[in-house]
Amino acid sequence: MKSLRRGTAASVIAIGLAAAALTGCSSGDAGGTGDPGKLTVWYRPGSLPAASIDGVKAQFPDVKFDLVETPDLDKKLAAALRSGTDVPDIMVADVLQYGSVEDKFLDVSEHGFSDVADDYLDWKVASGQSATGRQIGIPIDIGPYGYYYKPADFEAAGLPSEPDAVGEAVATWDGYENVLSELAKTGHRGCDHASNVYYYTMYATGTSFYEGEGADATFDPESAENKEAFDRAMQFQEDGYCTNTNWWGPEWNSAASQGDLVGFLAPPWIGGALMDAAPDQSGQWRIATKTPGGAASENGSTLMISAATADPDLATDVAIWMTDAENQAQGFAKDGLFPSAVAAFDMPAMKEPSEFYGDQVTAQVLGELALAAPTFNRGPNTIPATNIFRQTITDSVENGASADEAYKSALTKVTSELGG
Amino acid sequence: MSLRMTSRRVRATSPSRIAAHFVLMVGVLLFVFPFYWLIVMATSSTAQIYSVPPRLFLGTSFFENFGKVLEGSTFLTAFANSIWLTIVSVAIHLFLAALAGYVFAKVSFPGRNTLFAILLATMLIPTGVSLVPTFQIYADLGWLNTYLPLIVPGAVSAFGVFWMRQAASSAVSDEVIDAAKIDGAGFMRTFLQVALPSMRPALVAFGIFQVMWTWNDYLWPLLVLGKPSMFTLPIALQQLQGNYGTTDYSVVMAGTLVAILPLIILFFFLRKTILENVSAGALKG
Repeated sequence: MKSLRRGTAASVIAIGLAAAALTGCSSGDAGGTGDPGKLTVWYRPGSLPAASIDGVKAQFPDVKFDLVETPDLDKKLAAALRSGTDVPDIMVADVLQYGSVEDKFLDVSEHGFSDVADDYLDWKVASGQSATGRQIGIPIDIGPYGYYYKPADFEAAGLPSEPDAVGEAVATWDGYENVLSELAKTGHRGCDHASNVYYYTMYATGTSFYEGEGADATFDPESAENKEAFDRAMQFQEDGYCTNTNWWGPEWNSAASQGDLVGFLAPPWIGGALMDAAPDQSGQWRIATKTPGGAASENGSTLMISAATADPDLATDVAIWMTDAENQAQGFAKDGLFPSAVAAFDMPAMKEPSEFYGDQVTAQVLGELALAAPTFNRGPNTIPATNIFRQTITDSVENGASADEAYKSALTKVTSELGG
Repeated sequence: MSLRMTSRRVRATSPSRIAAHFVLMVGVLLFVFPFYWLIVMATSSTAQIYSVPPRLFLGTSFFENFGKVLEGSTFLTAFANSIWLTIVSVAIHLFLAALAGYVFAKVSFPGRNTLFAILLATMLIPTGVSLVPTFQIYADLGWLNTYLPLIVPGAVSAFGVFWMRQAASSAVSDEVIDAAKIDGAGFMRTFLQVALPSMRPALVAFGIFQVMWTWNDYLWPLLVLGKPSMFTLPIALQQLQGNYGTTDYSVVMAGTLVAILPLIILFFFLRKTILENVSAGALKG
């Protein structure tokens, strides 16, 4: 596997070089994308609804499509943007990641998006805007957090067990902590990992580490909300309320399937992972109607359009069609992509009861939470800073550092790597 | 045979032999286990893979998993692309490396040693440094979306020339070359009919490595190929990766198992030649 290992190290350097070089790249001509009437779409596996991919050719019969399902889309895109050739017309990409080269992407509000912007969740549309307010991202999916729990174990601990009642019980942080401590008394855990609680809180409070708005926003890692979230997560950790198993690992799966983990805060794709981890627990789980301290949602993905595309209006139309409510509802039913188009919430696909969740209409619960999620004012350092704090919590679960030590070391790292 | 009988006779069940065999068996188990685990994962379902304690028996879901591989990626096309690309690329590479190695070893010309030293020095340049400039060159040449950037730059490597030079100087004797010259053979004829056959064990050994590297190459095909119908196997396998980390590992493992089968088969057929070549260097001189 020499090539693979060489390739990984090389690609890390390449991305760094490409990112640095892109900012200095002054050539306005981003290579062009060939003739009008031909559109290239790059998407990661599973990032667009299958209905969009399968149906786009029939929907736009006069257009020749090149639909490229590629892994590591960001590596290819960085290389294409750097060299100015072969940039796709439409791609699944993150607005923040390409913030420094936002002028290579189309402002879709000038090509028809403003007519349909109201069809999507407003905080999701806002997250598709660059620092200068240009709308360069068209919403695809989101990741609303829900509190997944097992009613039987809650009842045995003397707690309410209906989704509404549990929602009320965990709606405040004090209430949530009370639930955790009652569960811990019966030997079960209502939280999977302290770092996930921290991560959830950052989304629930809309903490971005930036003061101010738009292009004048300044990066300030010493945010009070961040410290509160950090300390709370470390507190749960010290009190032993969490199973200390993190997502995507066999330990988490084992904790769930063996009944140790009976409640956790997570976006919908973890709910899907639960179904794989504990298939014999079908019918034993529910989603509470509220989450602590408000609602939260992970940002999900957006479609971006190259500024050099030959026919910007057509590209915008195609992108809007691929993310319309009908396709997004299909995306939920078949591909596990939670819609951001509000009309999708009322479609039949989103009203199906879920057998695994005891015939609860989970899409409705998550939809309500999605509507209440806060709008972020994120900047380029938001995600790296959040990840550093999150990783520090994960590390201190392993090495037993105290909350103060962990916070100090995380802050030092953030300041040295990201400034501020 | 009689010689063997009179050499020092070691009892078959001496403690040192048992100990040696024991250590070797442990080593074998350690090396074979990852392959066994791969087969276990490829034949189980994802829920079974994640169970704790991990299951160690073969499952029955291989065809189901492989069916999902075929649905979820351009696997068969990529398989054919990989085979074609590997054969062409390795054939050219072996020929040119052998030619250059032969010339550096057997033909003296002014500046030969300096040139060889410069060639070796290029091996010191890390791949990452040349990644962006070389990509820019291919883009400007219009070679993107073709297989040319995967064949032409890889047509010869400094490492290959170095290895073949060693092989040429040890395997091909000057007397045979002189004899061929006397018989009236020109340069190419000498190379093809005298040098290449003697270098064959080294070529096979190097060839196996080159096949492995080309077969597994992920980064360049990813960057350079833009159409899914042109993708090679490593990229096709990555297409099975899910969104936001939701990867179905049993499916990925099933695909990986089928992807490495050609390499295993190739190695199986050529293992004698490789082992000969490895030990031949040790006994000489």
